[in-house]
Amino acid sequence: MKSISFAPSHTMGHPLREGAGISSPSIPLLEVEGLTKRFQGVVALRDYRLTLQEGEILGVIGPNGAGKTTLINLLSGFIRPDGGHIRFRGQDLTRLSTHRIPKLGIARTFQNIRLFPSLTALENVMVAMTVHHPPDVLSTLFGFGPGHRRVRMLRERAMALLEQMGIAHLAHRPSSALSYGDQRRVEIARALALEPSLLLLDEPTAGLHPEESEALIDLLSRLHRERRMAIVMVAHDMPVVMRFCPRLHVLSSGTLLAEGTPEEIRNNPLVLEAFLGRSGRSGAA
Amino acid sequence: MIAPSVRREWIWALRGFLWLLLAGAYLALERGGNAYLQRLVILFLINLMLVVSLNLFTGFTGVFSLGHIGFMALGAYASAILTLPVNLKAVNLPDLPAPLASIALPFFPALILGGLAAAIVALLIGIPVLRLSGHFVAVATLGFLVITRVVLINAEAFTRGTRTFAGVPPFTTMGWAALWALLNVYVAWRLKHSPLGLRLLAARDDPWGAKSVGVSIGRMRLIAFGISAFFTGIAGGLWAHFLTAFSPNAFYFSKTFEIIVMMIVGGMGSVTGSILGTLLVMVSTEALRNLEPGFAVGSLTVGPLYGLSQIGLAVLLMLLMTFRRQGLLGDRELRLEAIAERLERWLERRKTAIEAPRVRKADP
Repeated sequence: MKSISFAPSHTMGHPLREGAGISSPSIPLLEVEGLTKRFQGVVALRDYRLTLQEGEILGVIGPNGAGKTTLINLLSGFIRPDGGHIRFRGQDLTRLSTHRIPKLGIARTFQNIRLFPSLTALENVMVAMTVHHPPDVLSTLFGFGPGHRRVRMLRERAMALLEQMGIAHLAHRPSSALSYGDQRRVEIARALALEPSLLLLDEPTAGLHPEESEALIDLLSRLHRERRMAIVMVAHDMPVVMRFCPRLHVLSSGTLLAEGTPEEIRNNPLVLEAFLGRSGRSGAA
Repeated sequence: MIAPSVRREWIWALRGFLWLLLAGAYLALERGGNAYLQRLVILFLINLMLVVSLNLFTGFTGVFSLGHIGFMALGAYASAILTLPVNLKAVNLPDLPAPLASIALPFFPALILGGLAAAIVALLIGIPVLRLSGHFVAVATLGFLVITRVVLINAEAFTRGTRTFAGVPPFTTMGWAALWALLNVYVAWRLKHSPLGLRLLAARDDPWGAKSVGVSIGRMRLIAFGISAFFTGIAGGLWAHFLTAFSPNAFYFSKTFEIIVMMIVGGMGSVTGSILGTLLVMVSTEALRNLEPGFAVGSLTVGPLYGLSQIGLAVLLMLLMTFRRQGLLGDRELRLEAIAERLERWLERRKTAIEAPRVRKADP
């Protein structure tokens, strides 16, 4: 299970620095080939491929049922592919348990937000921080030792993250009592607490007002500038995707229909027919 | 939530008051020498351990265990076999294997070994069983309870089978019970309010969300199961050295039911709720038990009502499920900080209430 490629990020207590220099520049951050997933005979994703460099942003668009969420679930290890492989910094992910993936530096959010309702916003973020600072049983039970002192540090860092997301004032509220938009921000803060070098966002603007999604995209752009992590964002909110992602993949019925810049995608007749045309949202283009 | 407005002195004063109250009650009982009350308090402390431990697993992981009394039985028999005097072993357990037959350990190491035995068995069965999803864990742990009973009945060389295991030295004093109960409550509280506890609760709240931040659901459950079984085993050991004679029948459905009711009354996932639940259920069943031989109200005489306390327990559970499913506290805690805040606000209001009429009189 041990791999050399990610070992350095564990030697120091907190891998705040981005993955730069960990792997040689010739190895891309993420390499996906021939990725295929079937659900009871129905193909959800077929022969998908992707190469993503450190710090790159990719948008994945497509109509409902195109396989977008399946792709996120595969990349984050929540489901296992029926074929193909996913290499993250050269390491094959397809055989790893789901809970081992975040430690490597891959974080995700969910289309239907999945926070921990009985925990406060701050605690939701703190849970994620324990990935790089695993609690030990003794300091937990008897309340002393290095593990105990770390709690304060975790709390402060989690607070700083909430502040970055603009929701520090909600830190002590139960996460179940927050508005939809604030819950989204907590979930993104929780993902960032893993200090990922790859962030997978599943419909981050779903259910938000246009102004709210605008603000969220601004925030994500700023976070990307500061942290330089790679982002794969799945969405069907066209204006948002077009603005945020310099590079797009279009999925349709589980196959990669087209790829290119927003400009190229907008003028691709295949895409217009499969996606924009059929969904009748001509205003988006 | 911790209210920052409350002055620390208030919390310290309350905390001091609480400890003084507990210490005073303890000393009064110890010196007063009312044997009935003392026995009741010891039983309360042991039940409290059973409830807090069960809650530490079931409440913190959201997975029901119906097999915890099996761990209690393991702790009871293991520690009792270890402390039984050598001459009694020769009479009661003639077939006991050599190293065990010739030793009689002091109370403390025997208790610890009993707890460890329970914890080790918990880890062994936990590895396959805890992978199952919620309801199936309940059924599987029920299976464990049944297996434990069958083993106890058939391992005659160690347990005397269905016959009474007697002659256990009466080591369990109020002091021992109080110390272990305190430690158990403390550990459960710490666990809930630590990063490890956050991970536990996260795994309970949303397994997918938990996996997405690197929490292994199986490992979280296993840790809670092991700690829980350890303290349940200790409670079993205390119970064995309190009653001094018992048989496998004591560790079965009725005890399981009793402990589960106490946990549910208090609230699943709440440590302070466990204390309240245990107290409430014990006080009410004890009151009903005293009515069982029959009683008179004025000219009306009521005959023997055996089983009244059991019925009372069942009715309590039904009422609770109808009107307050989450129990007294749900998974929240009674916090000194919150009580101190209330007290402070109440005093403030009194102060203004006293001053206000004076101001009004001065106005016109």
